[in-house]
Amino acid sequence: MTGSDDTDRPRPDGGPSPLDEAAFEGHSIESLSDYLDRDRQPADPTIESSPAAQHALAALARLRAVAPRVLASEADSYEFPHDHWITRILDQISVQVRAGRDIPVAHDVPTAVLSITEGAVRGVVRDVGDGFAGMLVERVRLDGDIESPGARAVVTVDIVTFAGTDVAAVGEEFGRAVRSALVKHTELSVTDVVVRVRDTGLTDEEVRDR
Amino acid sequence: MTDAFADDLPTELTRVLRNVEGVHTVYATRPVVPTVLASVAEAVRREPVGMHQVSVEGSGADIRITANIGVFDGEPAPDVCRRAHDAIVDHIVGRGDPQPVAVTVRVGRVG
Repeated sequence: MTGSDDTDRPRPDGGPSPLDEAAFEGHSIESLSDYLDRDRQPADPTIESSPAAQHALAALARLRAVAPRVLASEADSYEFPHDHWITRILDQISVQVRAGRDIPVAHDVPTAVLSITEGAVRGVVRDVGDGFAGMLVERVRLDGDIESPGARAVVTVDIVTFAGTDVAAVGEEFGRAVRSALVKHTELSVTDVVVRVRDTGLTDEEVRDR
Repeated sequence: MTDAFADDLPTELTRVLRNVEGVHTVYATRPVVPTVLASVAEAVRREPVGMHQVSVEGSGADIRITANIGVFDGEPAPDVCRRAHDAIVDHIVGRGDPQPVAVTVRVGRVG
Protein backbone atom coordinates (compact mmCIF):
# COMPACT_ATOMS: atom_id res chain seq x y z
CA MET A 1 0.00 0.00 0.00
CA THR A 2 1.44 3.35 -0.94
CA GLY A 3 0.74 6.66 0.61
CA SER A 4 1.64 10.25 0.09
CA ASP A 5 1.47 13.23 2.32
CA ASP A 6 4.99 14.48 2.44
CA THR A 7 6.63 13.51 -0.80
CA ASP A 8 7.29 15.52 -3.92
CA ARG A 9 6.90 12.62 -6.28
CA PRO A 10 7.85 13.15 -9.89
CA ARG A 11 4.90 12.87 -12.18
CA PRO A 12 4.78 10.20 -14.88
CA ASP A 13 5.25 12.88 -17.52
CA GLY A 14 8.49 13.92 -15.87
CA GLY A 15 7.65 17.35 -14.45
CA PRO A 16 5.85 18.84 -11.49
CA SER A 17 2.15 19.40 -11.87
CA PRO A 18 1.27 22.88 -13.10
CA LEU A 19 -1.18 22.85 -10.22
CA ASP A 20 1.83 22.95 -7.86
CA GLU A 21 3.62 25.86 -9.44
CA ALA A 22 2.37 28.85 -7.52
CA ALA A 23 2.72 27.31 -4.10
CA PHE A 24 6.48 27.43 -4.22
CA GLU A 25 7.28 29.75 -7.08
CA GLY A 26 7.80 33.07 -5.40
CA HIS A 27 5.30 32.56 -2.61
CA SER A 28 6.01 31.41 0.88
CA ILE A 29 3.56 30.78 3.67
CA GLU A 30 4.66 34.15 5.06
CA SER A 31 3.92 36.02 1.84
CA LEU A 32 0.53 34.33 1.59
CA SER A 33 -0.14 35.34 5.18
CA ASP A 34 0.74 38.94 4.29
CA TYR A 35 -1.63 38.68 1.35
CA LEU A 36 -4.41 37.69 3.73
CA ASP A 37 -3.47 40.65 5.92
CA ARG A 38 -4.14 42.89 2.95
CA ASP A 39 -7.55 41.29 2.39
CA ARG A 40 -6.15 39.85 -0.86
CA GLN A 41 -5.72 43.35 -2.28
CA PRO A 42 -4.41 44.18 -4.75
CA ALA A 43 -5.35 40.87 -6.33
CA ASP A 44 -2.27 38.84 -7.24
CA PRO A 45 -2.96 36.65 -10.28
CA THR A 46 -0.12 34.27 -9.40
CA ILE A 47 -1.99 33.50 -6.18
CA GLU A 48 -5.56 33.75 -7.40
CA SER A 49 -4.94 31.47 -10.40
CA SER A 50 -3.33 28.70 -8.39
CA PRO A 51 -5.38 26.02 -6.62
CA ALA A 52 -2.39 25.20 -4.43
CA ALA A 53 -2.17 28.80 -3.26
CA GLN A 54 -5.94 28.86 -2.75
CA HIS A 55 -5.70 25.75 -0.57
CA ALA A 56 -2.88 27.35 1.41
CA LEU A 57 -4.88 30.56 1.92
CA ALA A 58 -7.85 28.54 3.14
CA ALA A 59 -5.62 26.65 5.59
CA LEU A 60 -4.11 29.88 6.89
CA ALA A 61 -7.55 31.44 7.25
CA ARG A 62 -8.70 28.42 9.28
CA LEU A 63 -5.69 28.68 11.55
CA ARG A 64 -6.25 32.38 12.03
CA ALA A 65 -9.85 31.78 12.98
CA VAL A 66 -8.62 29.60 15.83
CA ALA A 67 -5.52 31.44 16.92
CA PRO A 68 -5.36 34.90 15.38
CA ARG A 69 -2.94 36.32 17.88
CA VAL A 70 -0.54 33.43 17.46
CA LEU A 71 -0.20 34.04 13.75
CA ALA A 72 -0.05 37.78 14.22
CA SER A 73 2.88 37.55 16.61
CA GLU A 74 6.38 38.04 15.31
CA ALA A 75 8.49 34.91 15.04
CA ASP A 76 11.33 36.49 16.99
CA SER A 77 9.10 37.38 19.90
CA TYR A 78 7.58 33.97 20.38
CA GLU A 79 9.46 30.74 19.93
CA PHE A 80 7.28 27.71 19.44
CA PRO A 81 8.63 24.32 20.41
CA HIS A 82 9.46 22.21 17.36
CA ASP A 83 6.56 19.85 18.02
CA HIS A 84 4.04 22.56 18.89
CA TRP A 85 0.73 21.95 17.13
CA ILE A 86 0.85 25.37 15.49
CA THR A 87 4.30 24.60 14.13
CA ARG A 88 3.17 21.25 12.83
CA ILE A 89 0.15 22.72 11.08
CA LEU A 90 2.21 25.48 9.48
CA ASP A 91 4.80 22.93 8.37
CA GLN A 92 2.10 20.78 6.84
CA ILE A 93 0.38 23.54 4.87
CA SER A 94 3.10 23.81 2.23
CA VAL A 95 3.16 20.03 1.86
CA GLN A 96 -0.54 19.34 1.92
CA VAL A 97 -1.55 21.93 -0.68
CA ARG A 98 0.52 20.28 -3.42
CA ALA A 99 -1.54 18.70 -6.16
CA GLY A 100 0.11 15.34 -5.57
CA ARG A 101 -1.21 12.27 -7.33
CA ASP A 102 -4.06 12.23 -9.84
CA ILE A 103 -7.03 10.13 -8.71
CA PRO A 104 -8.86 8.84 -11.79
CA VAL A 105 -12.43 9.76 -12.66
CA ALA A 106 -14.14 7.26 -14.94
CA HIS A 107 -15.87 8.20 -18.16
CA ASP A 108 -17.33 6.14 -20.99
CA VAL A 109 -15.33 8.11 -23.57
CA PRO A 110 -12.02 6.30 -24.22
CA THR A 111 -10.12 9.50 -25.04
CA ALA A 112 -11.08 11.11 -21.73
CA VAL A 113 -8.34 11.43 -19.10
CA LEU A 114 -10.17 12.71 -16.06
CA SER A 115 -8.98 13.06 -12.49
CA ILE A 116 -9.21 14.87 -9.20
CA THR A 117 -5.92 15.73 -7.53
CA GLU A 118 -4.82 14.41 -4.18
CA GLY A 119 -4.46 18.03 -3.06
CA ALA A 120 -8.08 18.73 -3.92
CA VAL A 121 -9.17 15.69 -1.91
CA ARG A 122 -7.14 16.85 1.09
CA GLY A 123 -8.91 20.18 0.71
CA VAL A 124 -12.27 18.42 0.78
CA VAL A 125 -11.33 16.76 4.08
CA ARG A 126 -10.21 20.08 5.52
CA ASP A 127 -13.48 21.67 4.43
CA VAL A 128 -15.31 18.92 6.32
CA GLY A 129 -13.30 19.87 9.40
CA ASP A 130 -14.56 23.44 9.13
CA GLY A 131 -17.99 22.16 10.10
CA PHE A 132 -16.78 20.97 13.50
CA ALA A 133 -16.16 23.33 16.41
CA GLY A 134 -13.16 22.80 18.68
CA MET A 135 -10.87 21.06 16.21
CA LEU A 136 -8.49 21.66 13.33
CA VAL A 137 -7.30 19.25 10.66
CA GLU A 138 -3.53 18.96 10.88
CA ARG A 139 -2.74 16.41 8.18
CA VAL A 140 -4.50 14.17 5.66
CA ARG A 141 -2.87 11.04 4.29
CA LEU A 142 -4.20 8.86 1.47
CA ASP A 143 -2.83 5.31 1.44
CA GLY A 144 -3.34 2.96 -1.45
CA ASP A 145 -2.75 2.76 -5.17
CA ILE A 146 -4.99 5.76 -5.66
CA GLU A 147 -3.80 6.41 -9.22
CA SER A 148 -5.61 3.24 -10.30
CA PRO A 149 -9.34 3.42 -11.10
CA GLY A 150 -11.56 2.44 -8.18
CA ALA A 151 -8.56 1.81 -5.93
CA ARG A 152 -9.04 0.80 -2.33
CA ALA A 153 -7.82 3.55 -0.07
CA VAL A 154 -7.30 4.16 3.62
CA VAL A 155 -7.58 7.77 4.69
CA THR A 156 -5.81 8.89 7.85
CA VAL A 157 -6.62 12.31 9.27
CA ASP A 158 -4.70 13.88 12.13
CA ILE A 159 -6.68 16.48 14.02
CA VAL A 160 -6.01 18.68 17.03
CA THR A 161 -8.77 19.39 19.49
CA PHE A 162 -9.16 21.99 22.17
CA ALA A 163 -10.52 21.87 25.71
CA GLY A 164 -14.22 21.24 26.04
CA THR A 165 -14.38 19.14 22.90
CA ASP A 166 -15.87 15.67 23.22
CA VAL A 167 -12.92 13.99 21.56
CA ALA A 168 -14.58 10.61 21.03
CA ALA A 169 -17.79 12.08 19.62
CA VAL A 170 -16.03 14.55 17.35
CA GLY A 171 -13.63 11.92 16.09
CA GLU A 172 -16.43 9.52 15.22
CA GLU A 173 -18.75 12.09 13.68
CA PHE A 174 -15.93 13.74 11.75
CA GLY A 175 -14.80 10.36 10.41
CA ARG A 176 -18.30 9.63 9.11
CA ALA A 177 -18.49 13.06 7.48
CA VAL A 178 -15.10 12.55 5.82
CA ARG A 179 -16.16 9.21 4.41
CA SER A 180 -19.37 10.72 3.06
CA ALA A 181 -17.47 13.59 1.40
CA LEU A 182 -14.96 11.21 -0.19
CA VAL A 183 -17.73 9.02 -1.56
CA LYS A 184 -19.31 12.13 -3.04
CA HIS A 185 -16.21 13.66 -4.59
CA THR A 186 -14.01 10.69 -5.53
CA GLU A 187 -14.41 7.25 -7.05
CA LEU A 188 -12.05 5.67 -4.55
CA SER A 189 -13.17 2.64 -2.61
CA VAL A 190 -12.56 4.01 0.87
CA THR A 191 -12.03 0.99 3.08
CA ASP A 192 -11.24 2.89 6.25
CA VAL A 193 -11.10 6.40 7.63
CA VAL A 194 -8.72 6.66 10.57
CA VAL A 195 -9.02 9.78 12.70
CA ARG A 196 -6.07 10.38 15.02
CA VAL A 197 -6.74 12.97 17.69
CA ARG A 198 -4.21 15.08 19.54
CA ASP A 199 -5.95 16.92 22.36
CA THR A 200 -4.16 20.19 23.14
CA GLY A 201 -6.19 20.72 26.30
CA LEU A 202 -6.29 24.42 25.49
CA THR A 203 -9.44 26.43 25.80
CA ASP A 204 -10.40 28.66 22.91
CA GLU A 205 -9.41 31.66 25.03
CA GLU A 206 -6.02 30.19 25.83
CA VAL A 207 -5.45 29.47 22.17
CA ARG A 208 -6.22 33.06 21.28
CA ASP A 209 -3.89 34.32 24.01
CA ARG A 210 -0.90 32.14 23.14
CA MET B 1 0.67 24.81 -30.26
CA THR B 2 1.54 24.18 -33.84
CA ASP B 3 -1.52 24.67 -35.96
CA ALA B 4 -3.44 27.58 -37.41
CA PHE B 5 -6.31 27.60 -34.94
CA ALA B 6 -4.34 26.88 -31.77
CA ASP B 7 -4.04 30.55 -30.84
CA ASP B 8 -7.77 31.07 -30.46
CA LEU B 9 -9.00 27.60 -29.52
CA PRO B 10 -7.60 27.88 -25.96
CA THR B 11 -9.54 31.10 -25.56
CA GLU B 12 -12.72 29.48 -26.81
CA LEU B 13 -12.27 26.46 -24.55
CA THR B 14 -11.52 28.61 -21.51
CA ARG B 15 -14.77 30.45 -22.15
CA VAL B 16 -16.64 27.18 -22.67
CA LEU B 17 -15.39 25.78 -19.36
CA ARG B 18 -16.22 28.94 -17.44
CA ASN B 19 -19.81 28.44 -18.54
CA VAL B 20 -20.03 24.80 -17.49
CA GLU B 21 -22.39 24.39 -14.55
CA GLY B 22 -20.43 23.53 -11.42
CA VAL B 23 -17.11 24.99 -12.60
CA HIS B 24 -15.99 28.07 -10.66
CA THR B 25 -12.44 28.53 -11.97
CA VAL B 26 -10.35 27.52 -14.96
CA TYR B 27 -6.77 27.29 -13.71
CA ALA B 28 -3.62 27.69 -15.75
CA THR B 29 -2.17 24.50 -17.17
CA ARG B 30 1.25 26.05 -17.58
CA PRO B 31 3.61 27.55 -15.00
CA VAL B 32 1.96 30.54 -13.42
CA VAL B 33 4.54 33.28 -13.93
CA PRO B 34 4.72 32.91 -17.74
CA THR B 35 0.93 32.72 -17.71
CA VAL B 36 0.76 36.03 -15.87
CA LEU B 37 3.13 37.56 -18.39
CA ALA B 38 0.88 36.20 -21.12
CA SER B 39 -2.05 37.89 -19.38
CA VAL B 40 -0.18 41.18 -19.56
CA ALA B 41 0.33 40.60 -23.27
CA GLU B 42 -3.38 39.86 -23.62
CA ALA B 43 -4.18 43.13 -21.91
CA VAL B 44 -1.81 45.04 -24.20
CA ARG B 45 -3.55 43.44 -27.18
CA ARG B 46 -6.89 44.33 -25.54
CA GLU B 47 -7.90 40.71 -25.46
CA PRO B 48 -9.83 39.39 -22.45
CA VAL B 49 -7.25 38.72 -19.72
CA GLY B 50 -6.70 35.17 -18.52
CA MET B 51 -8.36 33.50 -21.48
CA HIS B 52 -5.55 31.14 -22.47
CA GLN B 53 -5.84 28.77 -19.53
CA VAL B 54 -6.56 25.62 -21.53
CA SER B 55 -3.69 23.91 -23.34
CA VAL B 56 -4.06 22.75 -26.94
CA GLU B 57 -1.22 20.68 -28.35
CA GLY B 58 -0.74 18.96 -31.68
CA SER B 59 -2.27 19.57 -35.05
CA GLY B 60 -4.70 18.16 -37.57
CA ALA B 61 -6.29 14.97 -36.29
CA ASP B 62 -3.80 14.72 -33.41
CA ILE B 63 -5.05 17.36 -31.00
CA ARG B 64 -4.62 16.96 -27.25
CA ILE B 65 -6.46 19.21 -24.80
CA THR B 66 -5.57 19.78 -21.15
CA ALA B 67 -7.63 21.75 -18.64
CA ASN B 68 -7.43 22.28 -14.89
CA ILE B 69 -10.58 23.36 -13.11
CA GLY B 70 -12.00 24.25 -9.72
CA VAL B 71 -15.53 23.08 -8.96
CA PHE B 72 -18.22 23.98 -6.48
CA ASP B 73 -18.92 21.62 -3.61
CA GLY B 74 -22.63 21.34 -4.36
CA GLU B 75 -22.50 18.31 -6.60
CA PRO B 76 -20.02 15.45 -6.99
CA ALA B 77 -16.73 16.62 -8.49
CA PRO B 78 -16.57 13.63 -10.90
CA ASP B 79 -19.92 14.66 -12.41
CA VAL B 80 -18.70 18.20 -13.04
CA CYS B 81 -15.41 16.87 -14.41
CA ARG B 82 -17.24 14.67 -16.95
CA ARG B 83 -19.52 17.57 -17.87
CA ALA B 84 -16.48 19.78 -18.48
CA HIS B 85 -14.91 17.12 -20.68
CA ASP B 86 -18.08 16.71 -22.70
CA ALA B 87 -18.37 20.47 -23.16
CA ILE B 88 -14.83 20.59 -24.59
CA VAL B 89 -15.51 17.74 -27.01
CA ASP B 90 -18.89 19.15 -28.05
CA HIS B 91 -17.30 22.51 -28.77
CA ILE B 92 -14.51 21.08 -30.89
CA VAL B 93 -16.79 18.77 -32.84
CA GLY B 94 -19.21 21.67 -33.25
CA ARG B 95 -16.44 23.64 -34.95
CA GLY B 96 -16.10 20.84 -37.46
CA ASP B 97 -12.69 19.82 -36.14
CA PRO B 98 -11.71 16.19 -35.55
CA GLN B 99 -12.40 14.79 -32.11
CA PRO B 100 -9.25 15.19 -29.96
CA VAL B 101 -7.16 12.10 -29.36
CA ALA B 102 -7.02 12.98 -25.66
CA VAL B 103 -8.90 15.40 -23.44
CA THR B 104 -7.44 15.72 -19.97
CA VAL B 105 -9.51 17.46 -17.29
CA ARG B 106 -8.11 17.66 -13.80
CA VAL B 107 -10.06 18.94 -10.79
CA GLY B 108 -7.61 20.92 -8.69
CA ARG B 109 -9.96 22.34 -6.09
CA VAL B 110 -13.41 21.60 -4.73
CA GLY B 111 -15.37 24.34 -3.00
